[in-house]
Amino acid sequence: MISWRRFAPFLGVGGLLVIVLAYRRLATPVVGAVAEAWYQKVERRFVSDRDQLVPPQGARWFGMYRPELPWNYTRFSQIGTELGIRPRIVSWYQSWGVGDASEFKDEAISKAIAAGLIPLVTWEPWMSSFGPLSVPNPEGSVAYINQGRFDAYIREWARAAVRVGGPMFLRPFHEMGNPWYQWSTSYGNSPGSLADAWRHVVRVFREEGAKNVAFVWTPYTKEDNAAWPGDEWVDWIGLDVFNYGALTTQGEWTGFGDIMKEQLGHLPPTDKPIMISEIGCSGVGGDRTEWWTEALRSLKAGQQPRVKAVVVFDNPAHQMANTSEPVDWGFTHSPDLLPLLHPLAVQAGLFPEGPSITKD
Amino acid sequence: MGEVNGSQTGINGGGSGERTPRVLARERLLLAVLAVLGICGLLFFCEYWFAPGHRRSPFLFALLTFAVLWQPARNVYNWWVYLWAHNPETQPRREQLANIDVMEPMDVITTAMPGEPFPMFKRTLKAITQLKNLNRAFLLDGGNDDDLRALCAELGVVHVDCRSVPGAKAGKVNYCLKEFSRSPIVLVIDPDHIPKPDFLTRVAPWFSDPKVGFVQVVQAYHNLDENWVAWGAAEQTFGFYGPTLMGLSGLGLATAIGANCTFRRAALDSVGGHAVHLAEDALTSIRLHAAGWTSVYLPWRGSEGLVPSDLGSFWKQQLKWATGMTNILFRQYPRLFRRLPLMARVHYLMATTYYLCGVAAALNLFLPVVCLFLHVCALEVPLNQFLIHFAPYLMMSGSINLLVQRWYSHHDEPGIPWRSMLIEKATWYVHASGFWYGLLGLKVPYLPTPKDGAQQVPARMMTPHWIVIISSLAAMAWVPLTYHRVEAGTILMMLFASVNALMLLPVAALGLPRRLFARRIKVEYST
Repeated sequence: MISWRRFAPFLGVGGLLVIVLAYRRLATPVVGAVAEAWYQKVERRFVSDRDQLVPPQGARWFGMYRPELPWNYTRFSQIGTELGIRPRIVSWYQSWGVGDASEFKDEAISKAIAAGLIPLVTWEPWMSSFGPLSVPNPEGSVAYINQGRFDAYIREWARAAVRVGGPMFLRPFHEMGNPWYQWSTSYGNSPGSLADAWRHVVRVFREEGAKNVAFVWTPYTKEDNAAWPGDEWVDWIGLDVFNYGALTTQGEWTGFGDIMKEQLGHLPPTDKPIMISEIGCSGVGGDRTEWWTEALRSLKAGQQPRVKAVVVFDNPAHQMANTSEPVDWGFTHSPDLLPLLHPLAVQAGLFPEGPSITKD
Repeated sequence: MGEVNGSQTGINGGGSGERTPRVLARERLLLAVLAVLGICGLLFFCEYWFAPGHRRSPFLFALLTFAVLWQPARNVYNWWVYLWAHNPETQPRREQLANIDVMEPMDVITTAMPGEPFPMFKRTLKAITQLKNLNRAFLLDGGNDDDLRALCAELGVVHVDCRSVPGAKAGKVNYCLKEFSRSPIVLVIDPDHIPKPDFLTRVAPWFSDPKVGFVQVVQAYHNLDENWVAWGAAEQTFGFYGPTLMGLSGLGLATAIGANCTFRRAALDSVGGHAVHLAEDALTSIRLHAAGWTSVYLPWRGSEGLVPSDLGSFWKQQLKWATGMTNILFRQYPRLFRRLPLMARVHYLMATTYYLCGVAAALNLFLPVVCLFLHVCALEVPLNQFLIHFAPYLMMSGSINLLVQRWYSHHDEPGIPWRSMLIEKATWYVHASGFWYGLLGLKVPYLPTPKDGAQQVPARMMTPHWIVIISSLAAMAWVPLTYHRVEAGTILMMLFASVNALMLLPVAALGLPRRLFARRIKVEYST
């Protein structure tokens, strides 16, 4: 018999080396395969259904965007208390890309859901901060999505949403007719490719089993109807309702009812529920209290039955997209406004729903 | 006449629970698989631990890394040694024995120091005289005690007056080898060890290989029932006198243990006899291996002795070994390095650096306290992620431990060694100071390991533990008082601190007035 003993140290070091090399070679695929199996067999099964995202008959959800959300809910709760209505939807904005700011905020979303809130994430497909994947020229950039260039990123979000499991709104490609945005038709993206990109994103989420995510399709102009992806790809319609007042050159003070009439007039042929996903009034050239009063009045019981949620764009320090001028969209600019609005909000069906993080 | 009382009924007393371990091929294969998975688990943990985003203070991170990874890294080496486990089933064949002199009668040497209990000698010497194949038995008496002399005369044991012989036990053994003993093979046995009658005939066949310099057997204990400290101290040795020595034996590197080792005297002569050193047995082993001898470990319980049953004597023994081994590392190992076979170089480096575990343990105990008090952070990882990434290694390590317990030599030995874990944890400062003494070459007086179990634990030996416990608790209380925001790294440090305090508490409590806790059964010897 050969005496292996003499070669023991070489066998030891060699063996260790082989294990380390094999580990480097195999660990990622093996761990990946285990994680994949775990995802497919376990995690996917604990996802709630986006069909739950419907307020009770006659009621509307009230929500809010504020710059400090979702990290700080102090003002969010205060406004709810002052208005006498518990906010149910918490809204914030994230752009596509690499880095913390563009990652799925799983902790914030889990906590919001656990607190009885519904996250509404407006997910903006900017394609210029993707490291090596960044799109050099924004012209026609939506086509890159259809080519699958960002599939890994989209899939990451889909899986993160599955892991969170609770119902939430996702609003990609919002205001696709707004020339400010690179995914808009102004950047050479055809309506057809926009609709394709929408379906591409939704398809990835469905493949990954993210049935808890309700997609909100938000048009900007009536031309955007050409980018309608089709009933089966959309869960909610979003409307961004702003009264710029005298801020824009051709602008004039426009009441809520008129804006809504204009917007509803050219919606795609669908009966999907409608969410006013942003609403604000600038306060330049008119009386904001009046505007809000009118807005809520025109939502009172029986009116606008398709509108199932209202999310205020409560940002007092916003900037005009084209001129970078400061603009105050603050919902809470006047301390008297909120108590004044309370009865109207109740009439408008903005009832508290489910548990709230606020203490009354 | 001298029947043994109170101990043979003990857990390890009779032959009932004994077994000769067999290393099955499937066990070895399973061990290899688990070891590979364990290494992968460790790599998995390391990938996470060293991920660039996690570390905060580089200096503290380096220290904490050493403290956390020291034991796992050594475990990987241990697993590898286990893989070489020598199967005792492969006995030398009878025909090989025919023409060799190993079956010549052998000499047995034991030693006595003043203060050791007389009944112990009575029992041991009687057992020695009953050994098969015995030539002469020697008692090397450092005190020239009258009673012992009379006992020797009665039993036919050669009593050697060693009062003037320097060099502690090793010096006496060398003196005896030089002046009196003439057998080619000699058993050196501690006076608390009662050999079985067939001890000499069991080890003899291994000497048929002319390269074998010594044969070591299990060092078993008959006072495990005394208290949980005794069991814990013994528990530390179960793995050593099992898979570890079996593996080393497979590598030809079984270590001699002073208590009951059988030497070829030609081998001892070739290295100038027993080494006179704090860790005399380890140094003798190294010298023999450097001189080209190999060694064999026989997992057979040839004799049973006493394990320290109180922490004072246990720590004294550990301090002696820690100092001795570290001294070898810095002062003997470099000298012998060139002459050692390759594997022996690796092994003795590992063996002599063992007591760095004291340094690692001290860091483990104090780093969390320092971090929590000073609001500094070594690394920022969430507790659950730390546990998830450490778990695979821990599971494999635990499984390997359970697997190799099949190679223990007694049915009562396997089990979760919680006592030895607690005692090992509480020996941190003894190991650390032993390492320090050895590093600086300081002298620790040679103290024979007390065998009578009468020593109490001096309360001051517990002081370091109480310092750690109180400062850990204070550091944890400090967090809610002074932290504005508790980060993931802080929670991890709080876990470390609380585990440390919790694990030291049982042993530290032993330093409190004794009657509160321990029930003490004295080992009795009838007359």
